[in-house]
Amino acid sequence: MSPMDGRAALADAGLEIPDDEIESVVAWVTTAAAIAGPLRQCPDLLAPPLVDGRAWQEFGG
Amino acid sequence: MTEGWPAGIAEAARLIRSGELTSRALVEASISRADEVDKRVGCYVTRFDETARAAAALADKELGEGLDRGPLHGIPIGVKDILTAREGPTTAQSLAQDPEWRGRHDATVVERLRQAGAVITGKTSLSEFACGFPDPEKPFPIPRNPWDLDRWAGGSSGGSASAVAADLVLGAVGTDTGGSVRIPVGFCGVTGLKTTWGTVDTTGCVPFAWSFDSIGPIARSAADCRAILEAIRDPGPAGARTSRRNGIEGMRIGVDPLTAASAAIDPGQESAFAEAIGDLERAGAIVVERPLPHYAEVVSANYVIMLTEGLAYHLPTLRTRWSDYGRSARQLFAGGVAFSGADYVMAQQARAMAWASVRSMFADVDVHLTPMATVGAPTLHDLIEGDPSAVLGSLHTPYWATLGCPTVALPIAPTQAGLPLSIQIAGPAGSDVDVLQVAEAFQGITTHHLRRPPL
Repeated sequence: MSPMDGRAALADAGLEIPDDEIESVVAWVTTAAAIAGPLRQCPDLLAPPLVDGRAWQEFGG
Repeated sequence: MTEGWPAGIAEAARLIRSGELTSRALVEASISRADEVDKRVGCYVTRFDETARAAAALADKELGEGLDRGPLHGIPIGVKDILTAREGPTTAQSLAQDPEWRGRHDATVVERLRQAGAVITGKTSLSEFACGFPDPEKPFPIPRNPWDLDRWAGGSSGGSASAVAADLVLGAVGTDTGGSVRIPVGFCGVTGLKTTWGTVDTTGCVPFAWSFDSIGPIARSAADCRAILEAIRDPGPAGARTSRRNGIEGMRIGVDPLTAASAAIDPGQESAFAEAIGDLERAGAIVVERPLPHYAEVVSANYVIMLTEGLAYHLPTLRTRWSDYGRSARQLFAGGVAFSGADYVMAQQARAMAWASVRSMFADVDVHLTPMATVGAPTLHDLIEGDPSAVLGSLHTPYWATLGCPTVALPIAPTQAGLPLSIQIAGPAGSDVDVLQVAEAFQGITTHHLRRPPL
């Protein structure tokens, strides 16, 4: 995610960030976007069934 | 140790029943200790001195009349200020929180503590809305580490852990969404359990992330955590499970040191971790290497789900009261805009994928052991003014929170500077008592949990 995309995402969410803070918030948003990287790069995630109560119960919960 | 203060809940319960101690004397000691040190440590947001005195007097009266409510009867317990209680407001340590939320009714967990005879001494400090780092610009206490007051107690249940470590209370309850019981417990050198998701009713707890939020006990020892757990867990099938084991002789323990996954490692970490494993082996456990499956994906899923659900809860308020939130919390929640609906679904898928793999792992090992963190508590200056990524990248709590498994954190040998280090022991969903019994067995052959900060 680029800083421009980060700003757009914040604006789309209706968050009005003060000028003296916007850069640090955008920097965190772009960092956070990278956190999802392992999920976006894991083809195995397309295999299991969507998590539901049964999956949790089978796990023992 | 504070003079005259019991070693833990079990000892206090014994002394009360033998007539050598009263709940009133214990609660007065708790209040005196808070008077003495809390301005420096910052454990409490709100103290309930007068109602605690009244509850202690009632506890003594009941025991005198033959009514014994169990191990917590007359015991001073602190409650994280994200849980409602009838005595006072619930701030969640935020100006953005309505302090009269739920109209001062007891959270279910508080109600259960009272039914078990516990004396609620007050509301303990935390990271704002159980998220982020302390904000010195806001009018709330900063939970400081009793081992070094320039350092952080950990979060988010920092006040609960530091109050136990500094002998203000004998037990406390905290909440854990990504590590909020285990991180402060580890940094303060006490013991705490992240309960199986769904084991303790969260009614009356300000939400952070519904998929993970759990309530758990904090105390000096695993045995004392078990006493609190027995009082607060749900009576249904998930909460009522009892141990299938007795001791750790012959138990198979999977181990992953998570060295490669750690952003920083204290010079004393590897030897302390190896010593802990050696202690378990000498107690008869069979230790085998078992890397945690899908580690990167599961940790990623924790942040994606936690920040997305956190943003969902806070977005309406963030839009209108941005500056009422502390800098750290508002920025962390705003980070939720980084994720798409597809990211959230993939994160939930990662849980299902990991559940299958971890279920297979627990067919081969009884419990699993990792470091809680590979560093000791950071200084508040480094945390607030510096880059916290090295600390965050050294915490290994999100994995088990994502999977909902019970996980106990407990101290091992300290750093060279004397700061606590810790391990975490996780088990299959529903094995809360089992993991506490492993921790109890470890604490039966070690003394790390008995160390007291020089406060």
